[in-house]
Amino acid sequence: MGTILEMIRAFLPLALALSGCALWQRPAPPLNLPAGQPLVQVDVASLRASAVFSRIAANRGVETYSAATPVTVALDHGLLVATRGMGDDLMAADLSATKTALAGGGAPVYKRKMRYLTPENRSIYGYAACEMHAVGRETKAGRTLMRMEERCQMQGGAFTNIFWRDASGAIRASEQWASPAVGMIALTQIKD
Amino acid sequence: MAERVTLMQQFPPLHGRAVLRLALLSLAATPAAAQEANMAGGYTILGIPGMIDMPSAFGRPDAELATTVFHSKNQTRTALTFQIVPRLSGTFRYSSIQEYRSVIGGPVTGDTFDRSFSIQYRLVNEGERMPAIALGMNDMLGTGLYSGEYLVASKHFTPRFAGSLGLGWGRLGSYHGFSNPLNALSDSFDSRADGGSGMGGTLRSGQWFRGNAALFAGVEYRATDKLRLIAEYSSDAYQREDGATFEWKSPVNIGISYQPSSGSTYSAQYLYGSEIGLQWTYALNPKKSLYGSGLDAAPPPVTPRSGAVRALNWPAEQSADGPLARALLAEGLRLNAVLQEGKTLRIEIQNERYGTPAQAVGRGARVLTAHAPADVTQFDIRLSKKGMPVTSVLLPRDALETLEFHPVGSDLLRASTHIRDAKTALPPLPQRYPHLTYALSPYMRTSLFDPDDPLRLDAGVALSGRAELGHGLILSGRLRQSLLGNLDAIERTSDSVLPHVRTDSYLYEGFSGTAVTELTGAWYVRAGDDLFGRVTAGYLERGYGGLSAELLWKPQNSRLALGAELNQVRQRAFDSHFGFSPYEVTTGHLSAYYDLTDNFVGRMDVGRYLAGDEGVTLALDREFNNGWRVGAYATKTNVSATEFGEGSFDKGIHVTIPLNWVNGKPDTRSLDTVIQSLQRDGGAKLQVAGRLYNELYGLQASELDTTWGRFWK
Repeated sequence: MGTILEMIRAFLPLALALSGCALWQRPAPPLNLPAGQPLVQVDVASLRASAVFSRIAANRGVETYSAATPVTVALDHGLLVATRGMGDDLMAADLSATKTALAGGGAPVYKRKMRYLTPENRSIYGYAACEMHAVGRETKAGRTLMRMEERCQMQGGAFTNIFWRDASGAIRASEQWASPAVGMIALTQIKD
Repeated sequence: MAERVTLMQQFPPLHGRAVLRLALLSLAATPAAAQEANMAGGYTILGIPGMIDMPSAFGRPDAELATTVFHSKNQTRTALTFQIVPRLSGTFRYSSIQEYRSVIGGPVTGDTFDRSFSIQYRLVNEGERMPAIALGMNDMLGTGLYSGEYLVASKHFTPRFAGSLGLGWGRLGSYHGFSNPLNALSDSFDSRADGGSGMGGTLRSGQWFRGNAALFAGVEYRATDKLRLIAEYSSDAYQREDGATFEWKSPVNIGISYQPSSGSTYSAQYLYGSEIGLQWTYALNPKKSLYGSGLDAAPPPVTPRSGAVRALNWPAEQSADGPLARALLAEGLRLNAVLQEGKTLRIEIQNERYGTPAQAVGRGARVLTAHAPADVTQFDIRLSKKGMPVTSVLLPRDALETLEFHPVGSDLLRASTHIRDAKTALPPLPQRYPHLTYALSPYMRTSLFDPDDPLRLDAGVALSGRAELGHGLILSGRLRQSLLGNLDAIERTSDSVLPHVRTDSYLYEGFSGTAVTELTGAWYVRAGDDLFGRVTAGYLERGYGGLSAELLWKPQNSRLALGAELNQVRQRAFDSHFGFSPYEVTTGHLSAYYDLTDNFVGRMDVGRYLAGDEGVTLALDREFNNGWRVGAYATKTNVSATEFGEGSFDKGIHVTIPLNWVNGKPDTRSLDTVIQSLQRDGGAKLQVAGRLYNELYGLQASELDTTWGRFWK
């Protein structure tokens, strides 16, 4: 036996647990919020987060909203097509069939395609099979709106997106499913 | 004791509340993953996939990395198990046994500490009718204390009820053994030489599957998703321990396992009719994370040229504190240089935030859409590391605008992106250099497995500073102040017959609580097409100072990389901060790196080690696309096993965990853990910061490709 001193970091979890002292934390950079832009109330139950987001960009019909916190939602005529800053983000979505169904057309059961990034940085699809139902008129956000429900099934569960539309067909409020971990996001248009 | 990197030495300040986060990691698995884990069995008290003390054939979910701690009367075992590929697992184990017999049937010889290694390979996956069948070997190259081999079949009778039946040899053939059925092949299978000899570290292939064989069996019932009940009939008679360590009274073990979350499992057993055992298992899986794809702050949106929300002025003179540089810095990117050539805008950036460089490119591109003049149609984003330009990513501006929200935006964008070697640096911005950074951070070092005290540690604070004087010209220093610990209490003197290149390192601990662990000047340079160079001079590590030079050939999209390193170093004095001892050595290696598959990288180093010994290091790493790396290495030099001492040759396991996986926040740093079976003087390598292969990690085309989905994160 010799000098048995091995420079070994502890077994993994122990090493990790003991290394966790924090001396300082880097603040996240705030995004610039322009004044006079449209506003949306955003509520994410799973994150216990609620804030008024204002529009910070528009690109080919898709509007990006953000608050002072570095979180964004991207809305394509009211349909949630992407989130950022929420962890298990909806990276992108192909909602062309949902749009057609909202307009009253297309197949009775259609496909909703969502794109995610795994913890191992692989891009994967999430597919859901959905049906659109016109439920009826109800009062929401101080207006009488038509409630539409998109009932979807996918591997590992089901979710229902709700859209409240005004007479012109514009989505004034909604509850939309983002991802398994983020879950439902409630969106209410406050200012056009 | 080697001045191997301490836990945080390479990665100074830790932010985030990692402890809390780590506790939460146990919640990380999705229900589907939990179900997958439920299909598998658990971990035995030896840390191998199985029942209580007997193995089963189910294995564990791919890539799972688990620590098992077991205690029963006079026995403590700690094991680290990695499911290397879906069918193969490897286990490293450290055990302490009090009151045992070093020779079966001999007198009680006292206490021992033992390291051992096991593998299990699943020959057949479980099918509707077919059971899973696995072959395993325990303690293949240690001293043979736990030596045993087995063939086991396991089957689920219902989703919650499974049984296993196995045939064991060695230890696993020691209770109710019968004549070895393999003697039909050769009479040599009838006898098994006794293990427990020598210094360990050699493959004892002459014993494998020899001697008596015996049957073992067991059943497990998953009463609920969290609770597992197990009963087994063990074929291990514990001949070395019976009547001394504990009383062996019955071959039947019963156990209960409780898994409140997917991370920790708590087990209790009634073992061999006499003792209670307690076991804790903590499992991580690099493929899963509590934070999904990460809690990165939202990126700035793409600003299309038409209908831009804000109009920005493009200054005639760019500077290191201009609007573009500030906007990039807000995204964690340091701007080295800007150059507009016609309709192409080139920037050279240093990623200071993202573990995955593809994300750095994406953030840079988003910032450029808001800042670049309208006539620019193409962005050339050049990733630079330590002042060396590495990779050029050429992006059409149109594609960025049209694909921002496209469902397959990352794939389509990659198709119109050109990634290639960036050989020459762009002229640096005025005021870019000199650039100073410093950090004060806690550090902790541990030493495991010293028989006098199996856990020693040293903790304190470290001050590190870095000055970038120009492209690739970097001064670095690190000062460490010990605040508490018992690393200095070591009283063993080295018995090594080789120059004491590592085994005397404990002497550093006795001198002073303050240590200069690094004080160097380094020059990093692009030495040509696909060529990278480094020269470092100064106090390279706690143990050595001198000159180190390295050249690496690593083309884009190449599976092969080649490196050469040459060092002229002297051992540093034990009793002064800046002095040297007389020992001087020329050490260096030729290295080849090869991507064997998408996930596995092999490395071979041939050269001269610190003690002047010459030989080869082989290493194999499984790399994950999120920066996790788990690997093993072995070094054999022209030092005989006797000269080397305990362990016979140098070998170890290393694990790299990206910090962003731990706490969800973007971070370029990672936690590096090396578990060496034993630090001796043979096969020892110089530790020098900034080795090129590691610096380039993740920055080239093939790695950008596999993580390209992160461009839009």
